[in-house]
Amino acid sequence: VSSPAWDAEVLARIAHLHLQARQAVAGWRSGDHRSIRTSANVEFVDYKEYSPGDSIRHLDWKVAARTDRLVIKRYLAETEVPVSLVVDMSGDLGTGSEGRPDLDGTKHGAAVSLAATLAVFLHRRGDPVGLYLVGGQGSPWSEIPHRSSKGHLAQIVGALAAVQPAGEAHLGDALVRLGERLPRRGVVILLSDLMEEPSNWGPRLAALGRRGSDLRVIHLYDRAEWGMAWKDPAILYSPEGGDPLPVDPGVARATFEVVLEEYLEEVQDWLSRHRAHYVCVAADTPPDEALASVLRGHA
Amino acid sequence: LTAALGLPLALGLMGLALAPIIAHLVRRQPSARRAFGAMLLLRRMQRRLRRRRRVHDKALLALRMLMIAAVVAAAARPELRWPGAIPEFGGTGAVVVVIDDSLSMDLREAGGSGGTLLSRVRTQAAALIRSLPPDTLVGAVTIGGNAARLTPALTQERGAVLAAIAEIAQTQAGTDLVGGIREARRLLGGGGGEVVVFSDEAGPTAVPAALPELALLKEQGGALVPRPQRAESAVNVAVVGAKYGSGPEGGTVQVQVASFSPDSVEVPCTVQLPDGTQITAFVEVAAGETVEKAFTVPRVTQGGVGFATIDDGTLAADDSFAFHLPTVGASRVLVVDGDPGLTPVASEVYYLERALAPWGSAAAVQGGVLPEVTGPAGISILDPEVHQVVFLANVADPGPLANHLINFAQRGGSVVIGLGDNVTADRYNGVLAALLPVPLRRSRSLSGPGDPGVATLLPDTSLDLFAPFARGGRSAFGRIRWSRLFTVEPFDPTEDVRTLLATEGGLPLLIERKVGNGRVLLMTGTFDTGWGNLPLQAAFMPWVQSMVRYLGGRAAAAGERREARVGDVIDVALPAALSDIAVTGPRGAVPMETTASGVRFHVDKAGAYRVQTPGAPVLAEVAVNVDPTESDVRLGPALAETAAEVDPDRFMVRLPLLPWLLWGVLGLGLLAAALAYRPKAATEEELDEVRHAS
Repeated sequence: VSSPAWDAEVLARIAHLHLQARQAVAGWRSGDHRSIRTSANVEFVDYKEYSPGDSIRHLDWKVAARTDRLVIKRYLAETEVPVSLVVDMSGDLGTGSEGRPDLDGTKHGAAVSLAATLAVFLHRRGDPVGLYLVGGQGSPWSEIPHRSSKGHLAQIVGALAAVQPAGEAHLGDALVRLGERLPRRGVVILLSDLMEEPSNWGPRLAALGRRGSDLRVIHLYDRAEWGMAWKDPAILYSPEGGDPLPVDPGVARATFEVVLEEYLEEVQDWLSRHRAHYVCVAADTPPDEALASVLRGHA
Repeated sequence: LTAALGLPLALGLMGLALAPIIAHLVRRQPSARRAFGAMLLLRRMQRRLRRRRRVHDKALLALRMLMIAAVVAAAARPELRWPGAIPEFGGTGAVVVVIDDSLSMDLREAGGSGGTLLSRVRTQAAALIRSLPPDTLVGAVTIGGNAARLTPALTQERGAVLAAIAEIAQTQAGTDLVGGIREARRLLGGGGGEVVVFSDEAGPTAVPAALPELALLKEQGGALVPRPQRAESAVNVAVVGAKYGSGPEGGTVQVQVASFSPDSVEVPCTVQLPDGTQITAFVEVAAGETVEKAFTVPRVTQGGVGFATIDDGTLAADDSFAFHLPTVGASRVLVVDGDPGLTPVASEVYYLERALAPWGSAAAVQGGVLPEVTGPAGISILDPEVHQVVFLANVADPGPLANHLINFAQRGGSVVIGLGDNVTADRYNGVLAALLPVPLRRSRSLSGPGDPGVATLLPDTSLDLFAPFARGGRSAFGRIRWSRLFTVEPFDPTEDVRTLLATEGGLPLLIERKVGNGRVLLMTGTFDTGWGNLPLQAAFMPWVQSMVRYLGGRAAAAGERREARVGDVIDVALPAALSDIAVTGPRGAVPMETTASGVRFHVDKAGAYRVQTPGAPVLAEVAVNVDPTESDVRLGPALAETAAEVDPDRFMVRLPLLPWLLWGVLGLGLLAAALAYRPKAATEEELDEVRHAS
C-alpha cells in the first residue's frame, strides 16, 4: 500500500487519534485481556460438567477418580486471531454533530476514535487487524487487510482520520462483500449506527457467524437525536436521502421513545439469535470507557 | 313522526360545514430543516401513528362539521311532530261536554279504593263548565248505550247543565261515541265550537268508528278536545259468553271467561240453572286470553234463562251472563185411550205405548218420551206445563175433552187425533172444530176382504216430521197399507193447514193445522191393525217417535227466546187476543208500550226479561247481557291519535329542537376543543397503545 499525501487537517487528526488511543489503552495492562475463544490448548480455564457429545479426551480422570464426577477441562486459546474492524461511515454518522469540534462527541468521531483505539489495543497484543470502511469518502483506503506490522497501524489510523461520512451504508451488501474477503475464523467488530432495517443486515451477519466469525457489534448513537433534545418543530431529513418529515419534538418525543425501545429490542433479538456480542455506545462516551465496554462485552 | 324546519333557507348555510375541512387542509409547516440520523425510527413511528392519527383527525373533523351543521340547523328552528297531543281547551263561545257513562266507566282502582271513572268525570266536567266565561253556551251529551242529550240545546244556564251532569247514572250499556259526537255537532248547530269528550276510550272499536264523525266535526269548524280517563291499573275479568248445547249426556253449558288483565287469574265460575241448581268450577284464564269451560247440565232440567257468574270485583255487570236453557229431559206424552177396559193387546194404546217407550218407562225418564195413558175421564191431568203432546186414540166422545185440548193447543201443546170405529164425524166436527184441520166426512172402505189395501205414498223428507227418514227407512212407508180411512172435506192447503202424508189414491192420511202456539195432527187412519197394517210395519215406531219430537219441540219453542244487549229496544210479536201482558226484568216490572204486533220495551240492565200474561206460560224470554267490548278495559286507540288523522295540526305533539341543538353545539364545541388540545395529554394513551401493540 503506497502512502497517501496527507493534508494538514488529516495529519492533525492522526496525531489526535494516536494520542487518544494510547491514552485509552494505557489503562489496560498487558495480559489483562484475553481472547474469549476456548479451545484445547495450553492454559487451563475452568471445569464444566460432562455432557453427552463432549470429547472424552478432555475428561479430568483424577477428579473423576476422587469425586465420581465427570468433568471436562477447558483451556484458553492463545493463537493469533485476525480482527476485522468494520466501520460504518454512511451519511447518517455525520448527523448530530452540530456545534461540536471534529471527532469530539459525534457519531462519526466516536466511530473513528473507537476504531483507532481498538486497532492500537489489538496491535499491541500482536493480533493482526484489518479495517473495512462501509460508505464514507475522503479515505485513501476503504479496505486494509489483516497485518500486525508497525506501519500497518499507522495506515489504519491514517485511513480513519481521513474518512468523512457520506453516502449510504447498505450494511447487508457490505457484509456479503466482507464475508468473501475475511478469513473463515476471526473476530469481526462492526461499528455502526445500525440505521437500516435489521431484516436487511441481520441475515448477512448471521451468515458471517455461521462461517465461524466471532461477531461483536458496537451500536453508536447520539443522545440528542435519540432524545429529540431540541424544542422547535423542524423538518427532519436524512443525509442518505429519503422524504423529509416535519416533526414537533414536543409531540413526538414520547412515542419516539417507545419506537426506539422496540427497535433496540428487535436489534438485540437479531444479534442474540446469531451469538453476536452487542454493545450500545453513546457518541459522547470517552474512548477509554467505550473501549472498556467493548472489551467487557456490554455497555 | 315528522320533522319541520321553521327557516328552510337556513339549510343553504350548510355549506359552512365545509369550513373545518378547509381548516384541516391548511396546516402550518415548520420552516427549519435539520439533519437527523435516525430517520428509520421516525418512519417507523410515522407508520405506527398513521392509523391513529387518521382516526383522530377524522373525529375532530367530524365534530367540527357536526358543530357547524348543528348551528345552521338551530337557525332553521326545527321541530319534531307526532300525533297524539291533547289540545288545550280554549274559549270558543260554545262548548259541548260529552260524558261517557258506559259500563267500562264503572271501573274502580284495584282494591276498590277511590271512586269510579264516571264519578271522576262528573267532577271534572262540572269544574270545566264552572271555569267557562259567563257568556259561553254549554251543552251536554251522554254516550252510554245510545247517545242522548242532557240539554235540548246549548244554554247559558250553568245550573241546569251542572244538575243534569250530577244526575248522570252509571249504565251497563256500550259506548256510542259516534252518536255522541253527532249529537254534539247537532247541538253546535253546524257551527264551530269545542266538543270536550270525557271517556276512558276503552275497547278496540269505539274510537276508530268515530273517525267519520270527527271529520264532519272539523268540517263544520268544531274542535275536538279529548279528556281521556284512565284507571291506574285497568284490570277486569268478564263472562263474555254462555250457550247451551245438547248432547247425548243431557248437554252442556259452554261458558267463555275472558281476562283483560296483565296477569293470569283464577276465578270461581258458577252456572245457575233456571230451577235454581248451581254448578261451580274454578276457571284459570291467562292474561288477555279467553277460555271456554263446559258445565254439564243434569239430564232432566227445567228450561228458562240461566246465568253464568264469576266474581272478580270489578265491573260487576259483566261478571254475569244470561243464557237460554231449553227443557232438558223426557217429553211427556198423554195418550187418551178411547176404548179403556177392552183387551190391552192389539189396541191403539198398546201399540202407541210400545212405539213411544220401547225400552220401558224407567228408561224414558232419563230422556226421550215418557207416555202416560188415561181414559177420557182422566183428561183433567193434562198439564200444559208438563205435557207436550196428547194422543187421542179412537175416542168416541171428545166433548168433555174439547176445552182442555183447545186450551192446551193454544198455549203451545200439540194434539194428535187418531180415528177409528168409535169416531163419528158429526160429533168431532161439532166439538173439535177449533182443532180439526178439516171437517171429517165418514169412514170409507178401500179394499175388499183378502185385498192388501191401499199403499201409503212415500213421505217428503224435506218436511221436519219426516226428516229423520232422509238417510234411510223412507221406503218402509210404502209397505203401510190401508183397508179403511176416514175421508175429510176437500180443502185447499193454506199456511196453517197442510197435508203431510197421503195414500196412493190421494187420500189425506196425515193433516197438520196450527192452533194458537200449538199444532194438531189429524190421522185419518188408526194406530192399531183395525184399518191397516201401520203398527206392524218397521216405519211405525220411528214415525211415532219423530212425531213426538216434532210436536214436542214445537211446544218447547212456543215461548219466544231472544238474546239482546243492554241498551237495545225489544219488540215481541204477540197474538192479538192476548191481554194483560206484562214484562218483568231484573228490576221488576219493566215499562213497555203496546204496538200493533205486540209489545216493545227497553232493556237497561243485564238479566232475564219475561213477557207473560197471567195464568199462561211465558210468552217470550229475553236474555240480556252487556256489550262484551265494554269489558275490555285495556287501552285502545287513543281518541287524540285518531282525531289527528282528520285534524293533524291540532293534535300534533310538537317538540322544538332548538334548545337541544344549542346544547349540542356547546357539547360538540367542548369535545372538539378537548380533541384539539389532546396531543400532549393524549400522548400517554398513545404510548399505552403502542406498548400494547408492540
